[in-house]
Amino acid sequence: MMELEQIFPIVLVLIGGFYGALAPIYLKKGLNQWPKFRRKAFKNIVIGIFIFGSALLPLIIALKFSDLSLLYPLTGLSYVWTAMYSAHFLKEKINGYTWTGVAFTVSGVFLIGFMSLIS
Amino acid sequence: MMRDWKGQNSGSPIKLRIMGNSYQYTNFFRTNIFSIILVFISTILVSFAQVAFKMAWSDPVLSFSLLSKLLLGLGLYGIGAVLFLVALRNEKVSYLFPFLTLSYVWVILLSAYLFGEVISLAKILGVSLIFTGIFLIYVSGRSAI
Repeated sequence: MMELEQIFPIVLVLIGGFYGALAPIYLKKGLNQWPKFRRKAFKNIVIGIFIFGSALLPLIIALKFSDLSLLYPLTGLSYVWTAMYSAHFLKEKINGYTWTGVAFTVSGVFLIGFMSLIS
Repeated sequence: MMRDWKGQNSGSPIKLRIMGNSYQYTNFFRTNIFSIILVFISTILVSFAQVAFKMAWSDPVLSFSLLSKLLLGLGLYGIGAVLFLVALRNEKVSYLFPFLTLSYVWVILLSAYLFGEVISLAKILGVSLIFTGIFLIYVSGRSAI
C-alpha cells in the first residue's frame, strides 16, 4: 500500500508531462496556419493554451502526495516527448545533433533535480 | 523560409533597387538568431517569475505583498510565453524547445544570489550538460537540414 502511494504521484507527473508536451505542437500548428486559415489557427492555438494550463493540474495534485524535489526532474522528460511529437506530428526533420543535444539537456535537468533530492 | 549555404534560417531575402544598384538583405526578424534571442529573454523572464512565486509563498496568506508578487510572476510568465510564441513562428519546435532548459540555469544563479542557496558541483555539472546540449542543438540548425 505504501509503495502505491509513492508510485502514484510519479505516474501522475509522467502522464501530465506526456500530455503537456502536446501544447507546443498545437501552438506551432496554429502559428503555421495563421494568416491563411484564421479559424483553424485560432482553434489550434486555443487548444494549445488549454493543454498548457491543464497539464499543470496533475503536477499540482501530485505535489500534494510528494515533494517537488522528487517530481521536478521528471518534468525534464517533456523535452524528449516534445522532440518526438514534433518529428511525428509536424514532420520536422530532426538530425543526430538535435537528438544528442536533447539527451544532454535532459540529463542536465535530471542531474540538477536528483542532486537536489539527495542534498 | 529560406536556408543559406550554412543552413542558417535566413528568412525571406528582401530585394532593394537603389539608384540602379540592386541590394539584397535578409530580414533579421526572421532569422534563427532573432528567435534564439527571444527565447533567451523569455527564459530569463520565466525564471524571474519563478523567483517571484517563491518569494510570494514566504509572505502571509492573502496579504497585499503576496498578491502583488503573484501578479508580477504571472505577468512575467505571460510576457515570456508571448515572446516564445513569436520566436516559434519562424523556427521548428524541436529546435527551439530545448532552449527553454536555460531557465533552470538562471533559476540556479538567481536563487544563489537572492536566497544564498549553494551552487553544488552537481549543479555546475548539470548546467554544463545543459549548455553542451544547447550548443549541439544550435549547431544542428547550421548543419544539413
